[in-house]
Amino acid sequence: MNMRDEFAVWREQWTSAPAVPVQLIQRVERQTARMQTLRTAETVVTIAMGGAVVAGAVVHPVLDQIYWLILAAGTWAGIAALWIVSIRSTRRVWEPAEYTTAAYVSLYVQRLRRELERIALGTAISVLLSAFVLFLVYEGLAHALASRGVHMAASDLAEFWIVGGLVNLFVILGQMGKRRKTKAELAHMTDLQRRLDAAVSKDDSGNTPA
Amino acid sequence: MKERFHRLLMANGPALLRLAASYADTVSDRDDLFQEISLAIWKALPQFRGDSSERTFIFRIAHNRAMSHLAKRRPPASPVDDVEVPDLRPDPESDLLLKQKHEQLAAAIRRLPVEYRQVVTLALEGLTYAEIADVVGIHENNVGVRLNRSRQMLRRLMEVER
Repeated sequence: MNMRDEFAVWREQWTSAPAVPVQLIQRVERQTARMQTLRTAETVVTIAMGGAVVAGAVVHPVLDQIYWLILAAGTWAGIAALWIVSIRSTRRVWEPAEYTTAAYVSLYVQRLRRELERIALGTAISVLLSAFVLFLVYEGLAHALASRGVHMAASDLAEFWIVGGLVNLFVILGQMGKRRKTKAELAHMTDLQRRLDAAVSKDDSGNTPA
Repeated sequence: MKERFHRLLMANGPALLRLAASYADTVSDRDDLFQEISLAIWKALPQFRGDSSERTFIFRIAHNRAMSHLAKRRPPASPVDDVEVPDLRPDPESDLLLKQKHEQLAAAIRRLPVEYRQVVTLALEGLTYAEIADVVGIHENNVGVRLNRSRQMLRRLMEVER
């Protein structure tokens, strides 16, 4: 093997080792940690909320059992829908396909896109679920009171509606802010991905070996 | 400027990491040096007037940082010190052989004296003699001389490694 061939082999070996910028790895790892935290929170909420409505359906305090049964069924349907959205948003994006910069950037971009979908669908389902729970609790309470001879109008529980509405409003506003932030980050990362692809193809088309 | 910095880092990150690895004993040491290099590039970027190519510019900064890093970290390593940079991240099995070859070469490069390590890493990254001369601050003829000596030393070290 002559010197030029030998050096060409070394160069190939030298540049073959995949190396990903540390900052990119750290960003992806932070993203992974957030995904894991979110998954844990979802599990806790499922157990707490789903468990509470099932317990309510069994014990049926204050409201009639039929209301509790509808509440439990609706809540579990909502929880199931939220889990489908959540699982879809994290499917096959837990780790990069390979240990390369392009794979890490691609993973990051894919996660942001999924996050946008999750925010839109998740918020819609959460608001619907919340409205369903509020409506059913109100109806159940009205029915329970009516059976005791107390009749009430929607305005009699103004605080109930105001608080419920405000909670939903804050959820929507919070998710809108998050969506805007995610969209900005996605635009930045897709631009970066485009530049990276351009740099790689430029590098491939001709370099200046010593 | 932020965009330009990110673009430079994305396009040259792998090369800079390899370069950092040739001056580091461990992955965390390599990552520290990489951070130092990134910071130095960020600080120097406003002063870049395009007198040289961007690649030469960032490699010059990287090499200056690597020299400072070596100087402040510990006394210069003996060329025969057997150092390793273990990378514990999982690799696909098919990459293992390639990875081993790279590690073997990287280990041999780390055993070269610094002045030879500089030119050989830049040459392996595909810089021309003129660019290497610009980065290291020596004459082009000297680059050729150092590179030839580096090759001879590297060949011997690689044979020992086998």
